[in-house]
Amino acid sequence: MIKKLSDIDVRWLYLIMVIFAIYPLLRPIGLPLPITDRARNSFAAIDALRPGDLVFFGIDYSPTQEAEMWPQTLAIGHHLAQRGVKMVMLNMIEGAYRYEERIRDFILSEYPNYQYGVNIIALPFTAGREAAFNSIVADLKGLYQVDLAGAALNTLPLWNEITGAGDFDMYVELADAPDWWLRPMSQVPGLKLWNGTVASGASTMAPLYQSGQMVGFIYGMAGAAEYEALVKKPGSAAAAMDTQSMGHALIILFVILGNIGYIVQRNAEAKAKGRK
Amino acid sequence: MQFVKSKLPVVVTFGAAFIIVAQYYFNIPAWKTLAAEFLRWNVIIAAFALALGIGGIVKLHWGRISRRQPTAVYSAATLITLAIFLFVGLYETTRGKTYTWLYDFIYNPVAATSYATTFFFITSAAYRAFRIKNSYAAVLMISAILMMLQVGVFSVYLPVAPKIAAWVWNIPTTAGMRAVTIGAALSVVGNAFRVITGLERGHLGGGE
Repeated sequence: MIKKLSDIDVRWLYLIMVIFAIYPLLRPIGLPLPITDRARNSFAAIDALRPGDLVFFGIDYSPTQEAEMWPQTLAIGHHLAQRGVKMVMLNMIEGAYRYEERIRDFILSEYPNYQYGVNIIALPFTAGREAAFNSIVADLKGLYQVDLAGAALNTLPLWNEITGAGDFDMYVELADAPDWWLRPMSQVPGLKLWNGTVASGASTMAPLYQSGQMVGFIYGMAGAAEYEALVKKPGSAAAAMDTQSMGHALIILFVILGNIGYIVQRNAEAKAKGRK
Repeated sequence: MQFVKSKLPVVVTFGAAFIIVAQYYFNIPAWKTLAAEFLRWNVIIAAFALALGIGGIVKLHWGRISRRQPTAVYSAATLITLAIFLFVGLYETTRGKTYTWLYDFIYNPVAATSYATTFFFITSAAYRAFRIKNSYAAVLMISAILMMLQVGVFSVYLPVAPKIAAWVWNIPTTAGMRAVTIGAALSVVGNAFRVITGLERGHLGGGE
């Protein structure tokens, strides 16, 4: 019986996983969610911005990362809007424009003090990734002529106030882990860098936060849920944390069961060899 | 002709690289303007590369269809999807109602679903791969479990887990990632130097 633990039909594992994933979504358990120091420090970095400060808000992820990144986008969008900063949004990933449109529309609908062109602008997709960021650093105004909706940028008051990347106080990048935005943007003197990314990209970006190159760093569903709690806007990430905790518990249980079965089987095989 | 094929690209590469690199060392406004212009050209070339990518996809999948390979049906689906998005996007731009509908109700759910299936693969892989067959496997398994325990509810009931996980995260993981990052950066610098000086010619279609 125990030997069978090392060779359970994977379909049973899938079925159990589906039940464990769906149940907390249908009937939330309300498991406690502690806030890490990293999330608190990242929150404090944005909280230190003053009304009127100029912030780049980069949205660089595709629908595959939506489950982790959209809750982050909403929570950080809330926080930036609550601080009253001026936002210039941009995207460098094919397909990310839709999230830029959604968060722009969300901020404009939720925060009446935001008026498009006056204190928020959405820039269009630019190809080239690192090359495009280098171009932003070298000549932001020369790179963009129209906004995300195709309107001429020189008709927008906020755009006319800006002279270049050096005017900005912070760059908030929500991306699926790449660091190609960080190398160019770290060349801008005085620009604070802040990153939200997917859980699988955390190990790539964490050293850059630990070294002090970034003032803020959150990752994955857990990072989004913590941020939702900090801005007091509970959303889909907080709701999904029960599922994630249950999923992790189940994976740990499977690992333990698999190892028990493996050890029992290995001992039985060793005994059988000894008898021969 | 030989000059155009082999020498001219090296001269152009060296000239462009020199203009970009030198702007970091000399504060000459006209030079910086020229460098910014070059960077803008880079963005334009990258946009052309996207179009080149479409050509590559069409060539690859059309070849599979014409050879009637077993996967030809998937290739046909890829090309039809590409054609629909391209046609609608060109006709009404990406801000049009139909394109937005295609994005929100076709592309978005399909992409999110394909990513969500990794949930099952991770479960299966964790069950099968994390066996303590040797000391390396044990380290991998314990690290993975610690990382899972540091998130969410576990850190409340097992307060020691986040502390150990933080050490794993801050010391060995960071050390390893920094080594990889610095090593890769040095490699890029070395390779860039070879390309700029014409020592590396693989990208010109020949050997070194």
